[in-house]
Amino acid sequence: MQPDDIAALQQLAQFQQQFLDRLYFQQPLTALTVNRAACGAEAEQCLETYRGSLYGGLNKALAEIYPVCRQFVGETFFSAMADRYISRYPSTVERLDDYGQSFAEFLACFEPVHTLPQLPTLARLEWAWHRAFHAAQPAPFDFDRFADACQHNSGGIQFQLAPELTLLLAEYPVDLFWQWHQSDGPAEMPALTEMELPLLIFRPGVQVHIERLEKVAWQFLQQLQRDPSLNGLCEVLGDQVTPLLPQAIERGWISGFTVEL
Amino acid sequence: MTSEVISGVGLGLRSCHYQHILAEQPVVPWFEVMTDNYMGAGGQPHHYLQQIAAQYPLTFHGVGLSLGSVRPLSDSYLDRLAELIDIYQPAWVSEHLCWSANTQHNSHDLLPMPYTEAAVRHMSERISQVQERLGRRILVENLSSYVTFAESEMTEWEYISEICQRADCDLLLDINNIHVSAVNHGFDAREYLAGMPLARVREMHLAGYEVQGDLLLDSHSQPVHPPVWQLYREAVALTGPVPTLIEWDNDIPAFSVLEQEARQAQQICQEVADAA
Repeated sequence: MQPDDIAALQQLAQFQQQFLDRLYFQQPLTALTVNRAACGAEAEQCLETYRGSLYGGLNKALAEIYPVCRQFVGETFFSAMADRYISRYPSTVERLDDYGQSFAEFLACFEPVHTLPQLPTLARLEWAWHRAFHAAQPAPFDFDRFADACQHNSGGIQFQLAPELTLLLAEYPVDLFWQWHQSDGPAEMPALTEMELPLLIFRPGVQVHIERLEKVAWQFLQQLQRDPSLNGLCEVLGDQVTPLLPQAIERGWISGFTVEL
Repeated sequence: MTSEVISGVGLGLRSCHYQHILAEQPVVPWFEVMTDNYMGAGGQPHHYLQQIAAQYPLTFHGVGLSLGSVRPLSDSYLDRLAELIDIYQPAWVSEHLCWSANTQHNSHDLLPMPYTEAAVRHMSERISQVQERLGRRILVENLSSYVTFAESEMTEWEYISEICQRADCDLLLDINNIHVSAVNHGFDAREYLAGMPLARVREMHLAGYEVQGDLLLDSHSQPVHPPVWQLYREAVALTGPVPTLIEWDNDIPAFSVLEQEARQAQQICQEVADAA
């Protein structure tokens, strides 16, 4: 590449840096000169159109990922809150589906919603639902191969949890609130009183499931997240593994396994 | 269904219409799939797309490749795109002549380039890289835009023509985008059409815009406006029949509204053919 080509590419890079900084943070754009539009619009108005499009697109994406939070606080408030989030957490992800992961953290620190302490938990639930919604469809569990592995190399069995399975220790019954938001949900808005609630979010088929877990099932799945080995499971949970393991496979919490030699 | 031959007026596939399409099986010659909506590994988007792909020819249309960015092309994005092409066998793949992301941030939007020799060289090299990676020619789409730059060295149609020639790619001619940019920047849409490499046009797009103050916005939230229909008529007279797509992305109406728009486009094509 010739020196002139390198310089031109550097100018293009500087322009792209400044242009996005202008849209996200209203920083000055000096690398290139924006013309006044022929239709009479000032250069600043033209740039604001792009800023509005960027914020509008990300705002819409957040509204689609967090519809229950949006319903909770109202559309207008959600939109204003989302704009604050966007300016504080500009997208660094490649795919729009991956944007908004830190929304719950943002809400936990966002002063105007401190009177709604349930909101960050609700956002965590919705993010988990969103991840499960787009998760890969695992292959059917291979029972014959599993029986063979149990017989010949049980010490090497490592379980695989359903893709994008999330364990959420909720501080409020946000699952009821989520159900209330659905078109076939209960008519009465549930009370969101503080309580500790172990929730499981995963997708065994086409639909995402949100399930309340018994303490022992929670411990079982937590252990598998820490250490996916059958040996580790048996060491920590002992006889409880016998009823829990078939249940976990049948319900799709465990989607597969590998065998380490 | 393998998408070998695409003709007529297709519709943009949107998730709110999945159930209607599968239940009613409307007569639509093809659907255009927004590739970025299917980059995820699984779930309902693929559950429905697999069923629709079994019954209708498809084309792919992307917004996330960021062809004009200075940062390197994303290998993971291209790998996933190649996988999706392998799975769904679209008739063709299209992207926008724009950039979306710099080295730090992503706008997830279609941002304008200056029309310079450096931009032409950069864009055409990147298109060539993509075509090589995918093993096929792609279509590139003209943008609607709200800014122009004093540093531009050529017109938009000269810029696009040069890119298409250097990259040897095909063209997706968005008629609404031409009208929106012509009004916003005060150029003659007919001069634009006449200056484009029309032999490379394999698809046209039609959509509705919004008026915001002095500017026209490419919102894809309205029926196609009369001046765009007229420009479409003139474009088809120049190119001959070209597969055309009705795009509608915001405030999406009932499926029947899209079908009505498609019938109007089809009628214009017929009238142009009859006049010829």
